[in-house]
Amino acid sequence: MSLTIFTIMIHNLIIENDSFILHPTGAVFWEKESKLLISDIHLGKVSHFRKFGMAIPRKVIYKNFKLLRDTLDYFKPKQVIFLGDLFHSSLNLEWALFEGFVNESGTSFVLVMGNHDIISRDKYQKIGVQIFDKLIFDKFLFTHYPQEEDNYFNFAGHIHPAIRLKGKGKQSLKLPCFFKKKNQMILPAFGEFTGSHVLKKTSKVDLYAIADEMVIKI
Amino acid sequence: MDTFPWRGHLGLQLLEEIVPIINNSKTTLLFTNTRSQCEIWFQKILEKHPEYAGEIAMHHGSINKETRQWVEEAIRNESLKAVVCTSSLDLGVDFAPVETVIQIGGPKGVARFLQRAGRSGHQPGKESVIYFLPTHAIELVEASALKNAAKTKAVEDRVPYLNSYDVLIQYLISLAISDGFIPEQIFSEIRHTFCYQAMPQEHWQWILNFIVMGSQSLQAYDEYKKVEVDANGKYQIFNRGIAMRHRFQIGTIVGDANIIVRYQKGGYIGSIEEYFISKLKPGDVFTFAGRNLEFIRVKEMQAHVRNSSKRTSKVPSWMGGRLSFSAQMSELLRDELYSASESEANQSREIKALEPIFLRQSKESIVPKPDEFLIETFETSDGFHHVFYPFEGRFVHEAMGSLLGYRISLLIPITFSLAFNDYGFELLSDKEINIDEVLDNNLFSTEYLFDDLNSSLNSTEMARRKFRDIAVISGLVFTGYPDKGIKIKHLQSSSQLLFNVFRDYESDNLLYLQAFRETFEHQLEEGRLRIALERIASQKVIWKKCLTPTPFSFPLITDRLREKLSSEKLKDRIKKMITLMKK
Repeated sequence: MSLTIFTIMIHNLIIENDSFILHPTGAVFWEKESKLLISDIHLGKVSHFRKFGMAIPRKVIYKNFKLLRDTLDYFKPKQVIFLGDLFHSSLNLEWALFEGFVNESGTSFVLVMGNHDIISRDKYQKIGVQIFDKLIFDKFLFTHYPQEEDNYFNFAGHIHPAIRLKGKGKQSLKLPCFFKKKNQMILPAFGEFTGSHVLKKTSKVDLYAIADEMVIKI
Repeated sequence: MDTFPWRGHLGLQLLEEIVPIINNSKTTLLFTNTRSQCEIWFQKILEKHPEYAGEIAMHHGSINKETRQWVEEAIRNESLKAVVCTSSLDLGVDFAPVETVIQIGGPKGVARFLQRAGRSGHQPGKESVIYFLPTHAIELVEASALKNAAKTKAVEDRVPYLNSYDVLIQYLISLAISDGFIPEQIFSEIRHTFCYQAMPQEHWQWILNFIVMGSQSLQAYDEYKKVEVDANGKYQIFNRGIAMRHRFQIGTIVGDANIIVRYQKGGYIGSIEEYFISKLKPGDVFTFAGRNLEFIRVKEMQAHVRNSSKRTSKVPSWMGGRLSFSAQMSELLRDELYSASESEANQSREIKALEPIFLRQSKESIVPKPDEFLIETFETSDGFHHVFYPFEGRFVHEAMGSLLGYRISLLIPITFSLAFNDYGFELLSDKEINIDEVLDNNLFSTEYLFDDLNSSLNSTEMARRKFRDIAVISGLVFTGYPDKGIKIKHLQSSSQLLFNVFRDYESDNLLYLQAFRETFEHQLEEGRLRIALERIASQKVIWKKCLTPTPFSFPLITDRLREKLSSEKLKDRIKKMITLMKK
C-alpha cells in the first residue's frame, strides 16, 4: 500500500487576499479563519453497499476516518465545513463512528447540505453539527452545487473534478484536481471509494492536480 | 492491388465485389466482426444499391428481439437476398435457403471460420460456400492461411476455465433465493464438476463466509446482509430486495451498461452501450439499427431519438471482444508469410497479390524469413516507435509487449504505450530505446518469466478489465434494472473503483485473485509465450532502423486503443505533460 504519508506537498494560494492551503487529501484550509473545507466524503457508502449485499472491503471505512483524523491533526482547525455529501445514504452503523469522531475532535462542524445528505437535520444537530443550505463568510460563499453569485467567491463540491493529462507517445493520466475559476473553486472528493469526473482545462481555469501525496499546479 | 489499404477494418472498398455474389445466390449471409462494422456495411450497401431495399436486413445482438426474430423468419421464407450480421447468427439457427456466406475481415480462428461457412448449404449433400473479404492488405495472408487450415482441419483447442468462483457464488446465491441449500450436500455436487474438481476445502469455506458475512470474520458495526443460516444449517436469502436484484443479474455474459434507444413517442429500437451515448450532444446524428437517428436526450436510462435525414459518420461501437489468433492459426499465418520469400510456384494466389506491399515493405525493411525475427524502429511526431514481429497472435503479443516493456523499464526510467495486433506489437515512447542494449541484456529470455509478467504493470491493467465481469457475475456490483428506467439510488459503483479498493484493502480476496489467475491462464497464456520466446531465441534478429513507417507497422502504429506501462516517477511524467501542454 502506498498510502503512508511520508512527505506531503501542499500548495499555497491567495484568493481574495486571503491565504488558502490545498492539501493532497482534497481538503482546503483557510488560514486566517482556521476553517477546513472538506467535500464529498460520502461516509457510510461502504456500509450502505454491504447492507444491500455487496461485500465492499470494510477496511475502507476505517481508512476514511483515519484520513479525516490525520487531516484535522495536520491543520488543527477551529471549524470544519463539509461542502455536502457527507453521508452517502440513509442512516447506518457508520453514524456511530462519525459521532465518536465528532465528540473526540474538539472542533466545531458545519455541513452545507448536498444531494446525498438525506439523514435528518435533527440527527446532525443532536451531535452538534450545524446544518445550512448555503453559507456566507465575508467574501466567500460555501455551497454543495457550484453556484456563482456576484461579489462572492464560491467554494463548492458535487462534481468530483479530475483532469486528464496527455503526453508524448500517446500517454495519458487521470488525476483528481481542484478546479478554480475567477470566482469559484470546486473541491475534489475527499477519501477512498469515491469516483471522479473529468473536466476540460481552458485558459480561464486553474487546475491543481493531486498526484500521490502532492498537489501540483497544472 | 496498389490501392489496397495498409490498414483499416471496414473493407468497404470491396463493396462492389459482393454484388454479383449476392445476385447469384438465393440468400447470402455477410458476417462482420463487430456490430459497428455491421451497421456501416448495411448502410453502405443500401446507399450504393438502393434496389436491394426490402430485400436486405441486418442482425446483431443489440437490435431488439422482435426485429431479430423477424429477420430469422424472413431468411427461412426466402424473402431476403442478404443479411448483414455478426456472431449473433453464428450458432443455433439453421437456414436452408442460405447458399453463400461472406466473411468480412479476419475471423481470427479456424473453428469460427468453418462454423460460419457451415451456415451455408445447411442440407445433407450440399456444399458450404464461404467467401473471405479482407479489410486490409495483410489480411490476405490470413485468407490464404485459412484455406490451408480448412484443408488440414487444424481447429484450435479451447482452454477450459477452472475454479471460476464468481460463477460459483452466483450459483449459490441462486440456490439461496429459492429453497436454500445445505453446504455439505452442495459441496459434493460441485466437486463433481470439471471446473471445481480441484477446489480446496479452504476456498469453499472462504466462499461460504463471503456470502454470509461479506468477509472472513464477524466484525462489530457491520450490517452486511445477504445469505442467512437457519437453525438447521440451511443457507437461504429472505430479503426480497436482495433476491430481486440477484434475479436481474443472473447470467455470465457481461456487457457494458446499456441504454435503451427509443423514439420520443415510444417505439423501441434497441440498446447501446452507455459509453457511446455519453459522448453525444443533443442534435448529434448517429447510425443505429440501419437508421439515421438524431439524439434528443437521455431520460431515465433511455436515449430518446428521432429519425434524421442528415448523413453521419457516427456509428456506435461496442467494446466487446477483440479476438486473438489461436496458436495453430498463428503458425499457419507465419508459414504463409514466409512463403513470400520462396519461389512463385510455392505461393498462393493471395501472397502473389500482395507483391506490391512486400516490395514496399522491402524498401526500408524486410519480409522476414522463417529463421528471422524482425524489429523495426523509426520516429514520427508521436514519438519513438519500436515494432516487433513475432507473428504469434494478439494475446501472445500483448504478453510479450508487457514483458519486454517491463524489462526495459528496469534498465532506464521510461514510459511506454503498447499496441499489438495478430502480427506483432509496438512499444511507443518519448525516448529512443537502444535495441542493442535490449539484445545484449537478453530481454527475450524465458527466465523469471512468470515473475516478470506478474510485476509488469500491464498484467494489473488486464486483470482490472477481467475483474469487471467477475464483479458483476459475483454480485459485487449491481448494473441496474434492465428496461425499468430506474437508476438504483446510491448503489451504483464502478468495477474500476472497486478493483482499486480490493487492491489496496483486501488483496487476498479470492475474486480479486481470480482476475489475475484468469489473466495468466487465458490471456497472457504463459505457456504459449514461453514457446514463442524459445522460437525467437533460435532466430536471427534483424533490426531495421527506418526513416518512415513500413506497411507491416502501419496497422500497429495507428491503433488508438493502447496499454500503458511506466517506470518513471509520477511527478516527472506530469512535469513533461505540463511542459507539452504549454507549448
